[in-house]
Amino acid sequence: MQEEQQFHRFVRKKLEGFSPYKSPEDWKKMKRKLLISKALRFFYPTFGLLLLSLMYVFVSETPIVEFFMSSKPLSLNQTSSQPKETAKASTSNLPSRHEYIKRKIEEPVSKLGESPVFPELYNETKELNEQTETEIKLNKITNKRLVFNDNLAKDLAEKEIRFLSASAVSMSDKISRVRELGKTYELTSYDALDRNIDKWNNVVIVCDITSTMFPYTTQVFDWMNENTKNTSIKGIVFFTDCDSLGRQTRGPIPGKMFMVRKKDELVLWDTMFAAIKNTENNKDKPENNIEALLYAQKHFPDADEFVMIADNSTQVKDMKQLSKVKKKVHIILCGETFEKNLAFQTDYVQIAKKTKGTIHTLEDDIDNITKIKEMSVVRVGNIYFRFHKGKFYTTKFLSRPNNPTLGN
Amino acid sequence: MIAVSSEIYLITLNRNPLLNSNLLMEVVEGCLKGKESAMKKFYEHFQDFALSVCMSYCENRDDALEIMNDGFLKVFKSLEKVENIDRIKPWLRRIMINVAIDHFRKNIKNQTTQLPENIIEPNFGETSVYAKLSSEDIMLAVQSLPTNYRLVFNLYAIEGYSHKEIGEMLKMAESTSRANLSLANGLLREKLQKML
Repeated sequence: MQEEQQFHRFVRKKLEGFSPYKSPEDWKKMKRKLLISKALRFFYPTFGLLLLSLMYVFVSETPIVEFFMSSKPLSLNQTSSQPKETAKASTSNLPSRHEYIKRKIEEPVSKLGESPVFPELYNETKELNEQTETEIKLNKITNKRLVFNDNLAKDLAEKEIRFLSASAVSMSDKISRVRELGKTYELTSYDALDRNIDKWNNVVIVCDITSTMFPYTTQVFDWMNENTKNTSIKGIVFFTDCDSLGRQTRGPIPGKMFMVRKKDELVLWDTMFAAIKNTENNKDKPENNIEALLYAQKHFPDADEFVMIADNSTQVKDMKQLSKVKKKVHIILCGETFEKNLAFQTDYVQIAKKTKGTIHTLEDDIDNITKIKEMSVVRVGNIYFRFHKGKFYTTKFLSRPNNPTLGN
Repeated sequence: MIAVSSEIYLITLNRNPLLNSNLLMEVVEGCLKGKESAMKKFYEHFQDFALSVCMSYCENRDDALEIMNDGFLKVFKSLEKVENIDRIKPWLRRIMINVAIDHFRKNIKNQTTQLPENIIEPNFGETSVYAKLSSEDIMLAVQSLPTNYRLVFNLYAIEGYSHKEIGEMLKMAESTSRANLSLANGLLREKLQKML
């Protein structure tokens, strides 16, 4: 053991006296190492940030340009909605009749002091609304707004239809119920009609009254009742895609269509409830929009344009007949497509293109569907879409990013 | 370990320094500011010492230079932690050894140690017979040891660590460390005898 220690001490002393060969190249190598180290110190955080950004883009599938956009879009034409609001604000502080009525519609049901006709149904409606709101709030966090439960909405609409078709329920109860329903959804058809009616002449409103469209259709009634003196509207046609037994209405003779010429409130309600009763057995999703347009074209030959209030979540089943439609069709699209990066159903885009018509949503008016400006934003339902390189992309915006409306 | 460490410390202090402590302080301050000229002075001042430490842990000068430069990089990054300028050399030595051990750990998977066929039993006779061998000869003999043996030998015989500590550092059993040292002793004596 002592010998081992002696041996080790000997080696240690000898090694301490060792003087290695030095070269000027040694410092050069060290310098290179220092430079690389300095470069890496900046490279790692930059690379990390870049990687995170790419992951964010990949996960959200949003176009990359979204990240480089300023809060204000590059070039957007300001359409009618905002100047209109500013003009209103500047002219008078007192609310106009129109504003008063609109506010009344938007006012929560509880404030109106009206008790629901059928408490059970009312509670179900309330439940659905609460669920929808919760969903949207959740979506604001997770950005999965496309998971909206439309089946639940459909079930509820069917129940509403059964209630409104029931002969035991009085007309006044039905009307108050319809008005309540109209307030449960965003006022797409009401707002779009109100915003654009001055631009349109001699129009016929062609309205989808199938179950999923039910709340939007009721808004049309409210709007119609407030605009009975408007001479631009020649009539209204309701289509239900089936007869009272649920049979398809397609064929050489159009099936069950409901038409109103007189601007009389009672006639309107009667026709509407008849249409609601008819739609009770409609089962399939795609609707007979073109058939309804052709019906309107036949019965209102004097009309110059059609305004179609359509369901954005369903397709059109009779697109083959589109070439027969000879008049301009303005389409008010209600609701969402429930598909990512799809702002509008392609069938409606085709109809607008072929008839040189327009597309309208809750806040936006697209006057020329073929010439949408790059980076424009359009709101469809609760989702904002960005138009980029000929395609709409779902964005994460929870509100419109400082631009007034979509321009084209 | 304490006795061996203090012995090394005294030896290292007694070496003729290129910079006196005041100048060294200025150089360290320059290094902390990131001045390249100061870094160069610091490097040149400690290069001899650091390279000799690293060479005893490596097979050749190139590997030792790589380890030394990595060690200096660590030194420059953590120079601000040095409180006493007089303790800078042992601290630097500790860093060089740690970098060498890290290097060993990284490369251990790629190495296969081949045991020599005939190993001399560690029969320690009179060490004075090796007196005529130079420091360079001893360094060459140490460098020629297989990596595991060289590391254990250096850590035990030069740095003064116990087998338990070596086992923890090199992630090996204490008994393996003992066996490696025994074999390293034998091999080293064999090599030294051949050099005579």
